[in-house]
Amino acid sequence: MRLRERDWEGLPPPPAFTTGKQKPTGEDQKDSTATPIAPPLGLPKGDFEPRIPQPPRLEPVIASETDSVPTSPTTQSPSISVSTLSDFTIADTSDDESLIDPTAITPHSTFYLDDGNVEVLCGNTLFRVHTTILSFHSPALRRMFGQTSLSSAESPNGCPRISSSDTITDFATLLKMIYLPGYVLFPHADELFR
Amino acid sequence: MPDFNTFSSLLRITAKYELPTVRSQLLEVIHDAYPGTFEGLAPSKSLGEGIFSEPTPHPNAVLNLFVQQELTSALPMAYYMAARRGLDSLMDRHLPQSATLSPDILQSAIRGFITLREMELKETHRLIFGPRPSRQCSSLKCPSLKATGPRASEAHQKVTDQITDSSQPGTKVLQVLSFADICGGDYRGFCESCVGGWEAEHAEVRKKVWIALPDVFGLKG
Repeated sequence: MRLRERDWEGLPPPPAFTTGKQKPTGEDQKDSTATPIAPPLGLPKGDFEPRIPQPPRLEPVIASETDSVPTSPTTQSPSISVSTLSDFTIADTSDDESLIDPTAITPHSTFYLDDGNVEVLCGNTLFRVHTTILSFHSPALRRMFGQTSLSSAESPNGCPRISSSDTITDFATLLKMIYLPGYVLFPHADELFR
Repeated sequence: MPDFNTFSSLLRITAKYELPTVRSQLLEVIHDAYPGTFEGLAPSKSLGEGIFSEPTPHPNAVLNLFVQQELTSALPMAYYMAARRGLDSLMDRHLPQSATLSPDILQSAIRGFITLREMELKETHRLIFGPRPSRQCSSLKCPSLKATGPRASEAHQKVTDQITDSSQPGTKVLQVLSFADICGGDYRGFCESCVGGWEAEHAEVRKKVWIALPDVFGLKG
């Protein structure tokens, strides 16, 4: 006879867990939750196609040393930091571009916003966002944008580019939290607009 | 409730980017599922990693996150949730990196698991075989009336074995036990007074173990 498990109704019994296969290295860097930005409320779903930003003509940029996101050694040269500020650095584009595969850097499927005024590079994924909106929500980002002289950063796509040590998933989650109201309380809200 | 990966991201970024309002919501969820007080272990509550959406995270991954985020008050429960699955689960080499314990955490978890298992065996033996509180058996056939006889001893041992369940890999020391289930429909001959008494005393055992958790996992000092 087995003991009846009636403590903590939601407690999963040990055998229920399956470990599954181990993820390949770097898999957790992928943003599996990436979804198009939600259309404005009130618009019929079919009338609004999520804006799929055209990938900009990307200029190669070297991630800083503080960027912990692993990158393929075959597609990116050793990291060089121009100036370090916390986890963000101004991306350096002055290195030998011949060593870099420009196709390694890709815009994020949701958060490369054409009218953004700063690019943030996480690993080899590029976000383009609004400093004012991010600063409004986060004192840390406000300080970061205030202290960093964005004007001195390289601007390969017409706006300053900085590097972040966050994983792609973490930074995308931050942006979802900021750009998608109700995301935290209802984290699958973005699915309503798919 | 988001899945664990999303929850982890939210926890990290709300700390890093100073988003206290959202973080307090997350911490509230954590403190509810990984209570810091014995009263938080209400039987009707959903606790532990079961609160997250599928896929259910491995408790080791939750423990790693809480250690990384220094969620001190939730750590005893997180350690317990990892340890209750036993040594194989703690040391599983096939887990993803996020669920692989560092040597320090692993050492604390293993030491804690062994201590908890010892407590489980010792307290159960004391509960079943130890001095009885002042109560009278409600049946003249209750084995507790003749606690020294071989048949009575055998009956007590069966109850003890049922609770401690040597075949299980982990521990259930904090689990609310149903002695009616343990003893079966006829209570193995034990009277209702004895069975009810065990249940009440076992609640005290759980409380005693709970209070010891921080020490057990080396979280004090």
